[in-house]
Amino acid sequence: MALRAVSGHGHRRVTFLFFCLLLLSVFAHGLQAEGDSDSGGPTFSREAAAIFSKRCTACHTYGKGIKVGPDLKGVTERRKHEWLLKFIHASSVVIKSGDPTATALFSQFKQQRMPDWVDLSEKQINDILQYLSIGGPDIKPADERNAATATPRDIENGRDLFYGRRHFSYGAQACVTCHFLAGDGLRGGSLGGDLTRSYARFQDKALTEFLRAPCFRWRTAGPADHYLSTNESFALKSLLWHAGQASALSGRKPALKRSSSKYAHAGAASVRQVQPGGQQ
Amino acid sequence: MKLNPLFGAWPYVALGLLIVGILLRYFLVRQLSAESMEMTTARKIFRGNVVWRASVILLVSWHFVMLASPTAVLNWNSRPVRLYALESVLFITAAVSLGALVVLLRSHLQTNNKSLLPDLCDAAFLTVLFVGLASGLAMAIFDRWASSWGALILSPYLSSFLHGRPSSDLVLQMPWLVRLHVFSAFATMALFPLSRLSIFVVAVLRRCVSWTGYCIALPGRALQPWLRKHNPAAWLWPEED
Repeated sequence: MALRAVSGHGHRRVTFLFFCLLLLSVFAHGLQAEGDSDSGGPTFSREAAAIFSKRCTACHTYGKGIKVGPDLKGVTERRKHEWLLKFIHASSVVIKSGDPTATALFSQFKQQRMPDWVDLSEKQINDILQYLSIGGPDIKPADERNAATATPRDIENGRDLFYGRRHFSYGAQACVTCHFLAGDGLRGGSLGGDLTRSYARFQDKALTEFLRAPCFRWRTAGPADHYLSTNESFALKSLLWHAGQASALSGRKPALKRSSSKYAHAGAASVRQVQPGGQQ
Repeated sequence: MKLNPLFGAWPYVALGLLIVGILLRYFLVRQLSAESMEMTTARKIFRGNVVWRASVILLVSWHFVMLASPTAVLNWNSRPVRLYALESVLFITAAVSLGALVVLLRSHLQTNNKSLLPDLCDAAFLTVLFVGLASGLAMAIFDRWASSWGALILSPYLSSFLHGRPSSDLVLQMPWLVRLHVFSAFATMALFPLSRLSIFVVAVLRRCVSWTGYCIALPGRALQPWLRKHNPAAWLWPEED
């Protein structure tokens, strides 16, 4: 009887421990997913960037001077956070209250008042302000970084993704399914051709554009508007840059059977807009 | 929706020809003696040796697995050793199968045949099969690791075809060898009812139909003794007794 009571107690403890571990793993997975996302540079809310682009850019610039309203570059340093929060939410109320900064701005900008964005929540406004404080529209996506600045770790990440040792976030297939790099033996497929000299051929900007669109109409698990994360794109670009450098150093001629872009219509379309050499 | 003639419309035409052809053969060959005679001839032409039969079964099964479960194939191929093993087995099987098919085709063409039209149809079927096998083998050589990219491209294509919205772009963007392989696969399907080999399918269909008929009649047959015992006629028309 006592043994049964102890085993029952133990069973509950094991169940509790199991649920704790389950919760922990879900939490850890969430963290990892967040970490794997496009966090090459500073993190910001995509919604905030979209709201800024939709509602603010009609009257404001970011670092390009006065438009209808003031330039918003450095606005988070010029004004207090609470004031900005109140002003964005209901500028008319702040002006009517006789706030000296608000009234000065009102008279400076031909008595044109900013719309009251009452539909925006405090969190949304905070996110917009955070987005502006870290660079706003000037923030460059991680994949636009030049591949020549890649670290050995970036190249290794690219290698893992290329050979399918790590999965792409949005379900894209490993490059090795159809492509190969010189010196990797028979590991890669030959349908899509040799990518050893693709960096030298397209250069950084065009390759960035190329990697933004699927190179083929794969059946991916991810949503249609996502292909590679910016970090993954940069990692791949780094690997291609490194492969090109290594090939040039060793004087190895690429076993180019076909142009890598021959069967890559979707990607090729984007590259066509950006000429080889990165010139637009 | 505009269908591409080769990879949008042709697969449906081939499927239609296969179904209509088999049904026509089923309704035309009513005599069992004629059926067994044709089966004997078909066995002589298509039976070949054990290697031929085993390799064809293996190849057909492989295509079925790849098209039905591409994720499993990709998972298997994620390790280079497993990819090389699979590709080697498939390549050897296809090569053996092609060799056996050549032998079969040659013996069929060299045989002094009596009926011209069925023999021509068999020769055409074997030739298209040869094209399919040869193009598949060439694909394995020139477009490496077809088991991986085939699972990614051809499986969604077939799935789109089965869903009634064929994504012919998937195949149109492929090298001509792949296109030839896909086209010849559907051509084999279209020519199948014309060949003597289809008599086996007709025989299976006939057995299925008679078995279904038997199954439908079974409850009636089982109820017969009970109905005889509890015949409501005696209760309905007692004066007739």
